[in-house]
Amino acid sequence: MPVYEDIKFEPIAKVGENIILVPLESYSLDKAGRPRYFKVTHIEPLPAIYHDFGSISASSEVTDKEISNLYLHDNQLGQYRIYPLDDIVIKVKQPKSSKRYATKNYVSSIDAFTYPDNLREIFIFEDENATYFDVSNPNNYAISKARAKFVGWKFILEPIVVTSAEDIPKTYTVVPLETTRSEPLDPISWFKTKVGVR
Amino acid sequence: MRKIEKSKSADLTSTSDNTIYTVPTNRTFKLRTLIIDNRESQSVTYSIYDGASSNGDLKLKVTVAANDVLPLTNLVGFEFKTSVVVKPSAYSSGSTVSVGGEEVA
Repeated sequence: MPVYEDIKFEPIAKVGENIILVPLESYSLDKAGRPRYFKVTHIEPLPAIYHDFGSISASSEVTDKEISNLYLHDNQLGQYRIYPLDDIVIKVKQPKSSKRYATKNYVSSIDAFTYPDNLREIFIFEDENATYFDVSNPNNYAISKARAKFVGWKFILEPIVVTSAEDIPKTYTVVPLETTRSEPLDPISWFKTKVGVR
Repeated sequence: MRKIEKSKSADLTSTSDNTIYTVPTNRTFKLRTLIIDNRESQSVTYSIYDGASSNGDLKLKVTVAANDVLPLTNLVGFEFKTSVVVKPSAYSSGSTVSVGGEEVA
């Protein structure tokens, strides 16, 4: 199942389905450096997490704002959609040094007009892929509140033990956690390289 | 099309251009409500432009009697891409112009 396909806001994977996290770096790898696969064992809704980024001066931006309320426990994944409640423009950074939704020369953003809604989605795994927000006020007057609502799904995950190429799940959903600038590595090829399979 | 409801009010300070509301970049403000409080002792004609009167688009021109309030609601078709600028024909004791509407991108 490709990502960003849902028109309705449905979980990216159902209970019993498998997922893999990309890019294949640090927390998406096991201790042996191989891709981690997870089975979804439970899904819970996260109907509304509110956050106020505070006052913002006219035509200004506040940067590197972190929302710890979005983080989850171990072996949990959050799938969030971002809805600004005030007239603000939000840029997402995952990791802190890289903005999401970037073209070669432009960084796209989320605002009240963003459509379709699935373009508002981000994923946060546990509290590993720390997420930061740059929030700007597009108006020529100051605003006293810059509120956003995050709605989503929480996935309870069970790591899948993979010790040979045969253990790799036949189907899985790829969950993008961070900016990927180059072609993503094929997880099966990666695994075979790591375990010396030809 | 998604929209944000916006409103702004300002006291006029001269017979020159008075910017009531500046439209953020890449957006369009659709004027739905216009309220003019004329506190002058004479009738005043208010010319309302999208942008500066020198090169902006004249969108609306209304005359309000002395010491009167003109409320216009349910307006359709008045789109502003730059700013709502009001140029009154007279200024002494002042006027207040309030605008409300929808913003789209």
